Amino acid sequence: MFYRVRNFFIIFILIIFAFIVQYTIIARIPFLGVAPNLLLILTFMYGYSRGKNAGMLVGFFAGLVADVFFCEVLGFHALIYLLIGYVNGRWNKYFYSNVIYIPLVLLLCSDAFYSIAYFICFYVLRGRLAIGYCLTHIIVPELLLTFVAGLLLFKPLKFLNSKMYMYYENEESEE
Amino acid sequence: MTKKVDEIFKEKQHSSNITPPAKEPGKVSRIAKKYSDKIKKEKNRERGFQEYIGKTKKETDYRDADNPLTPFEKVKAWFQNIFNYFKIHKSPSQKAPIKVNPKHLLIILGAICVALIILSSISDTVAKPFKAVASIVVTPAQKGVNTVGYWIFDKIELLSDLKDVYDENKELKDQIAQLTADNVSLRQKEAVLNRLRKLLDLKDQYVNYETIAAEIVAKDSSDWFATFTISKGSNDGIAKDMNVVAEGGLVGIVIDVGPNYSTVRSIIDDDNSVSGMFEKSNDLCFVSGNITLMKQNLIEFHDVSVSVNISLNEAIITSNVSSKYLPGLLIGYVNDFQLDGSELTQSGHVVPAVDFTNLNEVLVITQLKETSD
Repeated sequence: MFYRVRNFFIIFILIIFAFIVQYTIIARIPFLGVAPNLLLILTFMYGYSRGKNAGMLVGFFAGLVADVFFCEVLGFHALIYLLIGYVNGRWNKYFYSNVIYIPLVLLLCSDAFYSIAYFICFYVLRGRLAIGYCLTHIIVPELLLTFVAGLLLFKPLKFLNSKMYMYYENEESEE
Repeated sequence: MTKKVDEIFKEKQHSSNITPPAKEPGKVSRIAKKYSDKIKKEKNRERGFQEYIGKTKKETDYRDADNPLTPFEKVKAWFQNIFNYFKIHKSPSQKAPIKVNPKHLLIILGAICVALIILSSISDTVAKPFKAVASIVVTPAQKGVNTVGYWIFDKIELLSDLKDVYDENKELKDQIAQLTADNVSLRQKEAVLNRLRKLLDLKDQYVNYETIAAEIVAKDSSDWFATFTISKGSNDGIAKDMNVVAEGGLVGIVIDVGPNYSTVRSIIDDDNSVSGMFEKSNDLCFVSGNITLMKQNLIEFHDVSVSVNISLNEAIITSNVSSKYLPGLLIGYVNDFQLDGSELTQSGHVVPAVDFTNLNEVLVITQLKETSD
């Protein structure tokens, strides 16, 4: 229980930290224009390393935070991240296989899915169909940036996870 | 010798082969032991803690004088007690951790999302609590980050501005250099223009003489030059003994001609002597260069009879009786004069009409003085 509470707080802080870094710090760097999607990386990471439930919960709350700050209508981000968390959770059984391309492909697919879903939710539904511009100016650069950020953050997050769930596993197995 | 060395080497190798395996396991075991000790220590600590929690039925028993708990452990124990409280009151069937079917969770959370989308699009009231929570949790952090971020970005902007200013400065410097070069060339062109204008004036003045304009391409001394080379030669119709004028005055005479160059000896040359006459009285004199006067921008005249009345700033022109110089060309103006020691002749100094220090263009009069010899 203690570890659950602690982990909850850690994830909570991680989500807020990622949100602030993504939308407040990196978004302000003038020449970038796009920011790596850290919330997505977080969702992906927890889905992939901890399973469907963890991925879904992290994704849901991460999306909710993004929703609250950027959307009139709540729930779109939460839904997208929820789905991403669920799909990544399906690949959880390969987490310890150390096959390197699985997380990379997963991350790329996740971000592509996020971008397309975002485009559908926020552009197509408003009747805007400038897919070409969005693709070249937002989606592809963000994809690349997210990929790079994911590569950089994979090991630290894995390490953090291993620390976070060291006792958690014991506790679960004991009970 | 070599055999011995080889043997020694082999022995050494052999011995070195033996020793490392003896060392290696020890090293490994030491590290392993260290780690296992650490893990054991951790585990014991944990176990002891659990035992301690298990033993302490009362929450007030934390303050053990022999083994005081750290604040962190106190908090930990506090949570553990709460957990134990729930554990005690849990039914045996609920003992296992709740395992949520992911699909159910997906459906539930998805339903929540959809509900949120629908509800929040209908009215703002649904979003309000979320926004309130966010404003409490996220916004202060954002503000903090922003203040730090603004400071940093201000600095970065300052730096980039500095870089811009630096680049601009560089550009402007380049521009200044360019403009200076342009200016210099324009000035030169202006000077050339002026000279050419003067030459044209001269041409008008000596309209009866045909002239060829030529550039001075080489001079044999620095400031004041006695002989110099011009850019026109026999191909352009220049011949020996042609008179050279510039800026309305006599410069010298062509002494040597090449196909595309000519050498001119100027009137200030120490070797040069011109037969001149005073403009007013038409009295003859000899004007010759003098190396000692060169630096003073003067030439001298001599062999003027005592009866001649010389006035200052009187013009001296080439005389009719000169063998090589055309008549009527301005040589210069009388600067000073005095009676010679013999009291039979007068002599003095002449300021040449041409400024020899800045001579760049000259006109060559193609007409030759026709003399009997």
